[in-house]
Amino acid sequence: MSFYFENLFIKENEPVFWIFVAVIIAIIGYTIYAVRKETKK
Amino acid sequence: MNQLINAFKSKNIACGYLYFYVHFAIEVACFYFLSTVTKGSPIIWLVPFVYDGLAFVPQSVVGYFNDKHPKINLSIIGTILTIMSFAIYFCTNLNVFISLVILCMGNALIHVGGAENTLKNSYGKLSHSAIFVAGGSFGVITGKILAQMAVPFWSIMLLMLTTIPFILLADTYNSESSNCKNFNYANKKLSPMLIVFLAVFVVIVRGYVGYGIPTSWNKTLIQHVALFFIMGFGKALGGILSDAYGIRKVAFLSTVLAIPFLCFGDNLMFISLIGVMFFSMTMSITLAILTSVLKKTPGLAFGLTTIGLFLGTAPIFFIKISEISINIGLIVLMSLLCTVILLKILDKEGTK
Repeated sequence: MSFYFENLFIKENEPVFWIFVAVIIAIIGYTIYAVRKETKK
Repeated sequence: MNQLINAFKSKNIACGYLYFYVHFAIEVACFYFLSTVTKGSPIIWLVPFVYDGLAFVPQSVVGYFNDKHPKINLSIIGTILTIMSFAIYFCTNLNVFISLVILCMGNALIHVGGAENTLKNSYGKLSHSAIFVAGGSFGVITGKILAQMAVPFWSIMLLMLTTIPFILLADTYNSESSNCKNFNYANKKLSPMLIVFLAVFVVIVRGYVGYGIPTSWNKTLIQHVALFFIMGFGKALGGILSDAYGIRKVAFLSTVLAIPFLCFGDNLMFISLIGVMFFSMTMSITLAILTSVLKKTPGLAFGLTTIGLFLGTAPIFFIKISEISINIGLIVLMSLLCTVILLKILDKEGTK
């Protein structure tokens, strides 16, 4: 098993990475909310 | 045989063929861009990871927006954004992430536009969206090859422009009666949220397992091309065969039959390709299940599959299991699990 974390150059681009993660989590959260809303109708 | 021929001639099947080309073109553009930026380096960069996230995940939100505002032609806007991203990257010195974000937005809009058009105009058939989705695999490998050949970037921009008449023609099939009410493939006895969760779980698992398929035979460019072509062919075939012979039969047979071919195909190209073809067939089936639950919001349903794909492939950027025995074990276990789940969440009545 190999671990590629360092090769993603995340340390050099750390702010970008964490903003990206936050955006992804927010979108997935909204999607779950939308699905719950639509399936209750 | 007649059922198969009829599946190819379903009403409004033209939408699938038109968006096959549009999907092909956007993937050519995206993978030409990614290959050029990373210059084919074997080291995984942050750029492809961000691309995967920003191109796949927002499609749910974009799809939901399009469900509420169906008159907006997202595919045309997506095409313009894609061309803009190329102009910014190749003609300016701005940070690569700016053009990457715009490219991802263009990609997401075109995907959602294609999904909405093919799902709403299919009268509940899977072929249309399956053929649309298949175009991507052909585009991915073509984009990589064109980048290796260093074709001028403006030729890719011209390619994107050629999609406009295809998009406009597909748009003529849209009408007030375009909807997804004939999608009735989900088990009505189960809670809709549970079906959504399980269907997305299947997509996640298949997304992850897909990267672990042993393909030591895959060494030359032609073999690489064959692999992607078969993936695209399998995706289309999954929808066509489901319409012809029944979604439950195809779901069961494709997931189970893939197992031995994938497990024993590590050094045997044709065996492996048969397995990949079967493996790819479930893509349209999970989309049909999600659309059945979210009939009024097919864009949101499509976006759930792309979120699943991202979540399934994201771990690959961080951890890669190289031991073949472990990968084969995962393929067997996960495929059997997916088979059981699919048979549970698919409706027994109302399907062939």
